[in-house]
Amino acid sequence: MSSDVEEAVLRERLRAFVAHEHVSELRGRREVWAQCTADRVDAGECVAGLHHAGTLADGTLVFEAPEFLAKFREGEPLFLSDGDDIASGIPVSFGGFDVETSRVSVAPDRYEAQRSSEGALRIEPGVEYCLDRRGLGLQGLLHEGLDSVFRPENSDTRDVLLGRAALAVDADRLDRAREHAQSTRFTEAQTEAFARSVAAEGLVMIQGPPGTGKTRVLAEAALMLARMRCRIFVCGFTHRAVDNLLLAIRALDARVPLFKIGGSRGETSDLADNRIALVRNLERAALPSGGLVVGGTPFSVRRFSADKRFQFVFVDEAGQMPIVHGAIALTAARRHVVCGDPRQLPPVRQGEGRDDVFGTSLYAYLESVTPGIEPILLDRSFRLNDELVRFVSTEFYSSRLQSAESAASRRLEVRRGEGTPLARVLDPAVPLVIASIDHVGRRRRSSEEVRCVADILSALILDGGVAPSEVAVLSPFRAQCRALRHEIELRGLGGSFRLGEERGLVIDTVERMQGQEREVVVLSLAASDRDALTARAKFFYEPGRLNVALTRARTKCIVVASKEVKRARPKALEELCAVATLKRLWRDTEVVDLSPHYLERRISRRRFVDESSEEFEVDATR
Amino acid sequence: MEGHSEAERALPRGGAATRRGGLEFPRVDLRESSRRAWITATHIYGFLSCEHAVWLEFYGNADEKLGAGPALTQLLRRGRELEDRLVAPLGWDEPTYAKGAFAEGAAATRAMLASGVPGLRQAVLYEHPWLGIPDLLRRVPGSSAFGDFHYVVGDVKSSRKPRADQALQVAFYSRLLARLQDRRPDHGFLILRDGNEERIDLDAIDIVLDEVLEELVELLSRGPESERRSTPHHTTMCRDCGWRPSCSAKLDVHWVPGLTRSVREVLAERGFDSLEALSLVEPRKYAKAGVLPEASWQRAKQGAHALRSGAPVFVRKPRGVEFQQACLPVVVLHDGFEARVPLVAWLFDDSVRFAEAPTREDEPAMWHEAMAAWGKSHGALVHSGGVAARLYEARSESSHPAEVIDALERRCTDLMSIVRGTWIFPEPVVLASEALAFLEGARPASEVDSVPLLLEVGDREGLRSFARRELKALESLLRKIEEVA
Repeated sequence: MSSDVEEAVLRERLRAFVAHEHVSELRGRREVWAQCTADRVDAGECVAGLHHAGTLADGTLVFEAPEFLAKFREGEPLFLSDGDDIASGIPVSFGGFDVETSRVSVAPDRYEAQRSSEGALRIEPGVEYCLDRRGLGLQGLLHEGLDSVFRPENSDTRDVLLGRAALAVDADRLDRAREHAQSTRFTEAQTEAFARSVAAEGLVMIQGPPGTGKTRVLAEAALMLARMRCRIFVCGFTHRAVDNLLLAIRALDARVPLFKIGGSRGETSDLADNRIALVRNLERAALPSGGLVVGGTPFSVRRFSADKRFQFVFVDEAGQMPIVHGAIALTAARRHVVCGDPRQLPPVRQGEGRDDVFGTSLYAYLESVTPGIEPILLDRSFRLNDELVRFVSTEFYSSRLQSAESAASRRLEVRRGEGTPLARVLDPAVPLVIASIDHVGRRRRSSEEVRCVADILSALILDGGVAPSEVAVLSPFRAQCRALRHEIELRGLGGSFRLGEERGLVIDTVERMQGQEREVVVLSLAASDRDALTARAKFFYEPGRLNVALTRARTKCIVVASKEVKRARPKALEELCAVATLKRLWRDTEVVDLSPHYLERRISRRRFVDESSEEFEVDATR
Repeated sequence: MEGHSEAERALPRGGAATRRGGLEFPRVDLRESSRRAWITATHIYGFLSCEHAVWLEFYGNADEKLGAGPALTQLLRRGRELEDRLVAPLGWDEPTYAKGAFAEGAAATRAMLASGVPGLRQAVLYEHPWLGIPDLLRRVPGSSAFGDFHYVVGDVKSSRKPRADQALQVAFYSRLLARLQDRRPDHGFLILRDGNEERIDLDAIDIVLDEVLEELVELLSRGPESERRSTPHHTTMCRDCGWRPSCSAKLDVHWVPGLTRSVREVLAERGFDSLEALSLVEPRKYAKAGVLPEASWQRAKQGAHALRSGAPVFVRKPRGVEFQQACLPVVVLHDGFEARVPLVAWLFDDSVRFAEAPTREDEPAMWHEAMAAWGKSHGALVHSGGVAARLYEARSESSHPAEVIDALERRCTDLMSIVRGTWIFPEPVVLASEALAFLEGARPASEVDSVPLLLEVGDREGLRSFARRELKALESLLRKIEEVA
């Protein structure tokens, strides 16, 4: 196939992929909107029963919310409506939910509001409103970016995407980088990754498993190149990843010019404090000559003009970055350093079963089309101790990942009570442990696990002396996270755990913890309905999610789950293999049976229909 | 029990290989009342779909079992033809033995493998009561009891993507083979519909096979006299099951539609094991006990009511269909095995329109005609499943621009999913005509036309009649949804 034809085919496939994702997103949203309000609320897709409490000076609308179970993130586009005619609602963006006041705030999306039809809903007191997701509407941005990918000046990017990239290095820079690395105390693999990044004349790929210091490697490489008067664009899938990298560079050098394009309101103060200048539009920004580093997400370079190109682009989180986004990012320069971990969480997809090639991440895609370029594996984890690294190394890294010397023998420092049901679960000598509770029939929320996790947290923080900021509770399900927060508040422990504070206990989904770490992580799997688990196998058993969940902890990881999680039998082979991974975790890890202490008491039908309400109430309580 | 001879008891029980991990078979305790003497890959395959059907194979009354219908017979025949087509070029032999004499077949297999044949078809791997007859054994380098080579297992499948049950089947055969050749193969393979080979990593799934075998053995140890009898689980798969009359006669909690197995277990454990008991539950009150959420109690109650009455139960108002613009009912007839779409139909102004493709080469023109007609309307394209997927498949062959096809996809509305969300039916329904029959107080026809059968015999009028029936049913369902919306 000729080069032009190859590129034409590639373009059509990428455009078709974007179109299909968009159609799938629309269809998925329509299916959600087709559900009744109660079901949408239960699924975390809607907040209902809202009463207007007031409007702030900046136009932010505040509502009283009797209950908040939604999965919304700050800035997420929503519709404010009566819950029936969602599409005719007012376009807004989510501002946040205040747990203490039970109030939701949203900001009107004035741009979208101007585009919407006449007769939009007016906010009236005494009326109940709903908030539903509106969709990101990225299709236009992605198509714009794809147009950029296929402009004549971006042939290097197309070469990379078509597997024509070469592993070329500048020998002089390679030597200088290796020499410089001797002063950095890098490991052997880090030295190689650092040196090849600095010396890159084509494509360099770096695989960075959890805690292996890839941010530091990229920061040092970007800094060395900037000092050599190069212009570097550092790109990540999320603003947080980009900010982390820029802050890491700043920590190494107080003077190198650093810039950040875009970002949400809450994220920019940290950058400003570290003299990282904010730029709204790269096209119009007056950047100094000489070496500098600019950070942004792929969309910030989608309309990039050729004369403002950088010499290097570092793409971080490439294991989570969709290919289309990654392709846009690669247009920023001709030398590409792509860093990521395909064994952690993959990109989120809307559509399934269509062009599976482009449904993977940028990293996984490049790994498959450029077999001649061997990724450099960073093989020492400075986070995980020797026991915590063992299972993930075997399952996900072909036994090549090891605990760094500084981390290997670390154990949790905690005051322990002996003779309690949780004693073995909390034992520092058992860094990875499964606390088993044999509940059945739970889909996304387990009250049994909620009670157990709350007890574990009390033992760790109140009795054990572990700081709340060093503990995280993760779950695949937001419903379980909400139930856990509610239980903690109910026990009056929110203050002690500093729940909701910046340096307090974190309770969140696995996705939100990617890139972060704590001394102790408690993972509550919550589900125990094997048919529901089978139906959701692709999500629940995603190997990347398990890998991320197990590798957030430095010294102790406690998995709380029912053995029913092992019983799913999905039809797809890939999903069955993922279930098998969980089975091996169960087989190879110490399991402490806590069922006698946390399982719901056996309530029979006779007691349900018993006329004695008192007896029924006794059975219903703990 | 059948055929438990001296020869079978003399069969090898495996050598050193059995002492390594992932090579064992659990002890089996088949009851005297068992109709079958062997446990085969078909039982493992079937166990993953329905445990109860497997139990019935061993302990059920054979007189109650229905024979394979014409659609299933056709599917099996097509599978055999595909296998012959893909495997014949290999030129591999099969072991020779009297029908049913599996010990003899196993001995013949062993002799052929020991002689170092490059491959074998339909080899017999037998270690009583475990019996496997894989489609293929392929010779590969690496020492074993046979010499400096060993064999790996392959199976031919008519699917386009590998499935979990297929991989477990290969893993089962591989375990039998490992005990025979005293070496555990590290992989097996599937040959799929398009002739591509999919490698199966046995290490990845051996732990699942262990569990399946143990559960299967435990199930089969429970004979008819056992207090813990096997129970069915009602799904759409039951439509094609020969044991359906035997299961459906027992109207209890296990036959209530819309419940998961876990919820049924919880209900049965707590004494809610009859339809009468379920119909009396108070969902909000019982949910407070924390055993099951309110939605599960509600579903159980509604499902029980539907099953007892034999009529659909209204659950909630339908959403997802807008009636401002006239909807266009659409039917796409599809033969999954052949990946053929022979006919597309739609209802316009009370008149049924057809676009047909007598051959595969005619399909692009058929799609062009259909899409051009649909593009002249503006409302939802309501269908009973899979139309959007077929549009995508037709994309590359259609002369319409991608934007046109995307716009049509966006309009596709699966009416049956809305119907199933609006009512709980006493039985799983797939076709619009089935759902309509229930809603009109009738029962669906027991024999449903099969598109592959009609296509194979070239019954053009039969295909049109099938499509016409579905279109009318979709239109009627739209009216019923509008009534309750």
